[in-house]
Amino acid sequence: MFKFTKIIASIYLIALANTAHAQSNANLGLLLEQSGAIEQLENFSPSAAANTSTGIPNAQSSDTANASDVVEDEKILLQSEGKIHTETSVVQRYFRILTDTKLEVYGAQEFSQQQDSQLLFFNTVGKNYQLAPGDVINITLRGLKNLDQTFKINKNGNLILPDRQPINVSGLAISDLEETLLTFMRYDDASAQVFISLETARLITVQVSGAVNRPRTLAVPAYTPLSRVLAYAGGVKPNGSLRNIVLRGRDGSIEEVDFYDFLQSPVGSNDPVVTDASRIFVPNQGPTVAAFGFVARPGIYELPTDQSMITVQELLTLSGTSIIPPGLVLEAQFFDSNGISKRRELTSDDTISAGEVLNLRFVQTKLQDTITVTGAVLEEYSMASSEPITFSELLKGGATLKSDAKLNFAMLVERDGTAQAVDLAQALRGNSKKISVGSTLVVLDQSTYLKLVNSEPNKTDDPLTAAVANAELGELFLNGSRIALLPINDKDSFDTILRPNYRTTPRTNLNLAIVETADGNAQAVNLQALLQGNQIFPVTAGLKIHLFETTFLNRFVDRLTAAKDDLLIESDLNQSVPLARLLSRANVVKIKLNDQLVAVLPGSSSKKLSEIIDTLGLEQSFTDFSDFVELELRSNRDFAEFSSLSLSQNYSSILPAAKNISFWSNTQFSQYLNSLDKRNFTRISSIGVPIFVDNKLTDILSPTSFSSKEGVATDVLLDREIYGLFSTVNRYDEVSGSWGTTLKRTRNLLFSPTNSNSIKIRVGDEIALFTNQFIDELIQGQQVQSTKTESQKSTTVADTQPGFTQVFGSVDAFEQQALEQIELNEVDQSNVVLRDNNNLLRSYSVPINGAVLRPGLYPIAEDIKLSTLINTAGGTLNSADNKRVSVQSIDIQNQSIVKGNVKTFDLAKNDPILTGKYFVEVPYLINEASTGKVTLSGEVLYPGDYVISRNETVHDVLQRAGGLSPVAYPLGAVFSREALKESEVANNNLLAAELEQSVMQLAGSENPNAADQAQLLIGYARQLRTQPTVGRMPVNVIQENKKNLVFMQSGDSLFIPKRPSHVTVMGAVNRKSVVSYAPEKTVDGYLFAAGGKTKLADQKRSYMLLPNGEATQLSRDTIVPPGSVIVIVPRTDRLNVIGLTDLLSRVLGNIATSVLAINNVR
Amino acid sequence: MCGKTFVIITAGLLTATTALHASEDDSKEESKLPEVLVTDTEGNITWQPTAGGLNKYKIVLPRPGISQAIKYQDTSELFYLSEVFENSFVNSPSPKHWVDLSLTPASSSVKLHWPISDIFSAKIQLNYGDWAKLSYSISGSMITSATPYRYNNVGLSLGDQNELTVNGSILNIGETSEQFYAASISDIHSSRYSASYGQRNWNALGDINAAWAIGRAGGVGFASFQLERDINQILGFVRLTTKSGTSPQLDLGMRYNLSGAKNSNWRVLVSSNEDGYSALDGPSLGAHRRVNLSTLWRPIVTIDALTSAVPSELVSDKLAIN
Repeated sequence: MFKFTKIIASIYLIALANTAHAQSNANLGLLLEQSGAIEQLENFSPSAAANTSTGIPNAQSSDTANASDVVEDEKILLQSEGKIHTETSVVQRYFRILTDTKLEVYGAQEFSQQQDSQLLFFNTVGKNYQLAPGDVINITLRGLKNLDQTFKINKNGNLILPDRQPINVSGLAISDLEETLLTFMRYDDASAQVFISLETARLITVQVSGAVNRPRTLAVPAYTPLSRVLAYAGGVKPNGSLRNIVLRGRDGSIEEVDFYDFLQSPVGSNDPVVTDASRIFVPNQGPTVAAFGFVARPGIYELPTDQSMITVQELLTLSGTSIIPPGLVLEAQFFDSNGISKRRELTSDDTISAGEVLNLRFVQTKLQDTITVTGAVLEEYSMASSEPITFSELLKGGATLKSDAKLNFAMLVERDGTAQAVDLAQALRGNSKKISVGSTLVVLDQSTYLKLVNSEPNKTDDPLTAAVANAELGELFLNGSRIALLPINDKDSFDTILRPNYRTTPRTNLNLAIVETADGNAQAVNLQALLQGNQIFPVTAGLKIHLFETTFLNRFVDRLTAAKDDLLIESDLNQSVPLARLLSRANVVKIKLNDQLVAVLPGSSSKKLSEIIDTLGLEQSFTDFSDFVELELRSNRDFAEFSSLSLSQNYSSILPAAKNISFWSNTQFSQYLNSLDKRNFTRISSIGVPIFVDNKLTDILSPTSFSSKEGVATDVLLDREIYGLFSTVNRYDEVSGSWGTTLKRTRNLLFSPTNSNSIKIRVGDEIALFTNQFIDELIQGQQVQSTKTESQKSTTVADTQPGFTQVFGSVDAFEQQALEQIELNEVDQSNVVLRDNNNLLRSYSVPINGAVLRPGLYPIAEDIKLSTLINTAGGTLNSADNKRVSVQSIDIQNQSIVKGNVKTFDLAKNDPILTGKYFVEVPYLINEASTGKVTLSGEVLYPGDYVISRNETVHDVLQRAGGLSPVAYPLGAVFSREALKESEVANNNLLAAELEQSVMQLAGSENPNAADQAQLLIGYARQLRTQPTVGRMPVNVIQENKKNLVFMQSGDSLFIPKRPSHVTVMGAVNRKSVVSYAPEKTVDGYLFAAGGKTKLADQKRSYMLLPNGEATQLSRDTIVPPGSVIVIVPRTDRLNVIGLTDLLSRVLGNIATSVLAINNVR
Repeated sequence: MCGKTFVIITAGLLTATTALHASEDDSKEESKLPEVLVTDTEGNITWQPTAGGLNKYKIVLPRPGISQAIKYQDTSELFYLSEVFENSFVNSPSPKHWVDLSLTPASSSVKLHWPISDIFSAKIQLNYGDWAKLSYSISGSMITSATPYRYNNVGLSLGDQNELTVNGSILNIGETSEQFYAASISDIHSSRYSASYGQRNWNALGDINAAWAIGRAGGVGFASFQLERDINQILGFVRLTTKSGTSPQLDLGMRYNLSGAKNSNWRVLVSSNEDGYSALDGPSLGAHRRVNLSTLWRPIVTIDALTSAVPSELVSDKLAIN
């Protein structure tokens, strides 16, 4: 697009070139240089390209641009635009180096302001304005004919009025045109009056170049002053000259303009108007001087052309400085030949050369006998006084103070510069404190006060801040940040001092405040106590009061503890390090609960554990705490020193100076112990006494726990059933470098540690305890093991004495002494476990058998009373014979373990102390009353379980059961006994085995029926193995044989069936049958009913099983009662040569017995 | 003795014994309870089975069992519920006498036994021999020792010829067999003596018993083998006897036991053999085997007997326990 435009412009210019108009020729060069003008012309009117008469835009048509067009399109003004220069000039930089002050070039800003295009049309052109094409004039005619109309002078310079021939007005002044028109009008109307005014001026082009900010060609309204044109060009650059601007007219006239005249005195200004095709050139700046200090217009001033110096007076005039008050020092600043800044004092008559600076320095003085009040007062003032006055006098009772004046803090700066903080409210109330003459009272408003509080005294130029830094005052810090400044005070309590500056909130840590004095001493105190105390809290110079919010403090101390040295690399060094050091200096105690910091307390107020518990409000959960309290002592040594206390024993004791106190809940302490690694275990065991329960680390106690008369009764131990007769204390012997073990009764170790048998527990000892369950399981395991050890059985004593092998299976174990050397296991990394003590336990175990609640093996550590041992075994049973408790001693003779004496004791009369190795047997009372339980079922009147006495017979029990029911079948009574049942099973299995063996033999037989017989035998064998057994014993339930009493045994059962009505026939009959019973039926009758005997039947060996389980030989006359089983035995010779009849007879007998029993039961 | 005479006498004696037996049955009708059943105050019944004039068992029938038996009209259960006491052999007090009648071709005899005490008994024997004359003897015997499985007896007999005979016997009994030793010596001056030893196996061949004996009698050695079978109360036998110097002789015979009479008992022997020649002719304890208890039970312990023996007030539906 741009290229196309240039082509059009070229055609236009060619057309221009064909004209012989001189002016056009002159402008042509300019236009050719200003592509922007070409563009502007193109924008104005495409048809203008055809205008070859003027070569510039005119007012011939509406296309001819004038000032109205500028309003519509401001871009018209920008014919072309050069580079915008905004840099600081060398001159400015020079004078800045010299004065350390940025000085502006005088007048440079005058032409740089933004120009309003609307202002174009307020030019005062006057009547001599020469009209030209493009101008729009307003013509008002009065007379016979009135006219009020605007006309634009067309591009030919003609003014075309209605009913008039065109009038060429180009080059006419407005007044001339008025005369011309009046002349025309008066031809017709003598009263005619003509008034013409310029409505809109035409545009002209002006080129601005040189040291202006935006060199360009401008289209400006005709008769625009030079100063305005410069303004349109962005103003003169700092290095441009204002004193020698060259204005070249269209006619070639040159005019040099000194704008200093324009700037200094507008009345006599020289601000020529530009004409069409004028050119303005701003040359570079000439020599300059500068003026600053007590001058009206500090700046850089250009010397008049061809001058290199100027008098001080002239420069003062240029800078608008008319007053030179007394005390003002005039001096010149300059660089000497070596480039070093120098000064020389001047008078007003002296001259100052180019490159020098005139500095008017005012030496301040002030009234000496006054007291000044500044800051948050209604108006700053000074009060003359020859002697000190009170604050009330100075502040008029406070009436001069602003409403936002801070009353509890003001700064009083003495004449000598010393500063002091003042509590204005207090000072106003009392008249004792007076202000010395020459002082300045700085009253602060809240914002200023806060700035002061938050200021960094070492990084400010603010004198007030610096004064505060040096003032005698106290400071209040919250979380390490200063929040208030405290005036010196020796009259008020802490609460009074604190209240205006800080109100405690729920977040405020009331347990701790640190008071730091000017000499750096820090003291941790209880804030709550401070607030509640009524005593005077003196605020002295340099006093720092540190308050904390609990969350911040805990988090900070946590970080401090965790990071330690790493804290130094944190971002908030400025705050953290001093605060860390402060906490370190102050006597604070960090309180941890379950390894979590819960409080930081002043050491001085935490002298007892009870006070700490009370302070932290932990009384409610106190009972859940572990007894072990860990302390990190306050030490001057290079390494940390730890100690421990017993929460119960040292609850009210005075604590040693500690840095850290760690409490644990029982639960968390257990988890902590479970997770202990070797290093931590070593550390904690160096201050406490590890308690191993069942060889596993369970608790750690402070040695002081063992100083209690009440004993060591921690929750951890109380929660478990600790075995009381055996425990060990492992102690490291530094001389031998090994661990020694002392065996103690638990009572003497823990629960009565102050008696004479106790051992004094000290740090480093390790205690092994065992639970009852552990002892039980251990001994049970040993019992199983011992019964499998043949070598142990070989001992004679072991064979004869139950429990002996459990204890003395190993001679080595027996020979262990009370103090023996054992090595502790390496402590495991993940779980601290004590060495396996099982062998030790076993070797010191004593068996107690018989009528005690828990008979078994009990490890015994020391001599023990017989009653204690029995009580450990649960005490004697009600059925125990306490008068015949026997103790069997064990001796060693000739390298053999032999039985010693047996002594019998009546527990009611004797309670011997047992020592050495021994067994204890508590015999049972002879139990005649209750020896077991039997079951009666079936047709008894009261079936059920019956407890039996020793001599009770089955008939006795039946009597107790109410006897038999009317439908009972006494002959079918099934009396079962467990022992018989086992015997029956064994017998059946044996028979089955014999049968199976016979089958093997039968396999080699040539008997053609061998296969059938084998199948029969296998069937019998299977039946024998699988059939249920009842362990039956025949008993006559309705008649007791006095000579053969059937005594009941525990576990016996008696079932009385109903009277049956059948007889079973089995064996070598054609069909195994259950035949209905009839009293008159004989054996033959039943056999007949069973299909008769087979050829295999052996009548001679056949028999009958009675319902009571007995067998009877079978004959024709045999009486067959109901429920009987007739067994027809197969013949031997028909089966096999090896003779199976006897075997088969027994097999069938057993099977029949079961059948019988089942029949009865069913 | 001629065969005709033997037949006549035998027929006459059988008729007489049958008549006697019939009169015994009639008397049983009058009193349902045999003498061997004794009721105690608690209602229990004691039964002492008698066989061959001997007692061995004492059986106590419990009252509840009796009630049950009466209730169900069935004594089979009671049989097995009764308590059996096995004692040494003694003379049975009941029947008060019993008779052995022996009829053989050679001689016939009638022996009247009556027990005097547990161990003493007496006997009067009347013989009708080959010489067609009657003779008699009086004898007494004593159980010298006895156990439940052994019975030793010594007897002394005085004949009408003042002939004195001493005899003794030993019987060992088991459930399947018995042994017997018998010896006698009479009229020492004439040196008449006999001695024999034998054994009996019951059910040796099915239901048939086998017995044998060897010995010397009348100065002649002999050996006998006998097969016998018991059918109801009649025992029939076949005997093969070999005597030295003679050819083997086969004899037949039968023994009829008329038991069950209240105060007397009859046994009748009819045989082709000479009675008393062999120990096989002597007493047997086979009836005292346990297997034979049921045989003894059936005729004695009947519902009627029980009903009459036990007062009705003691018979209860509820099974009391002794």
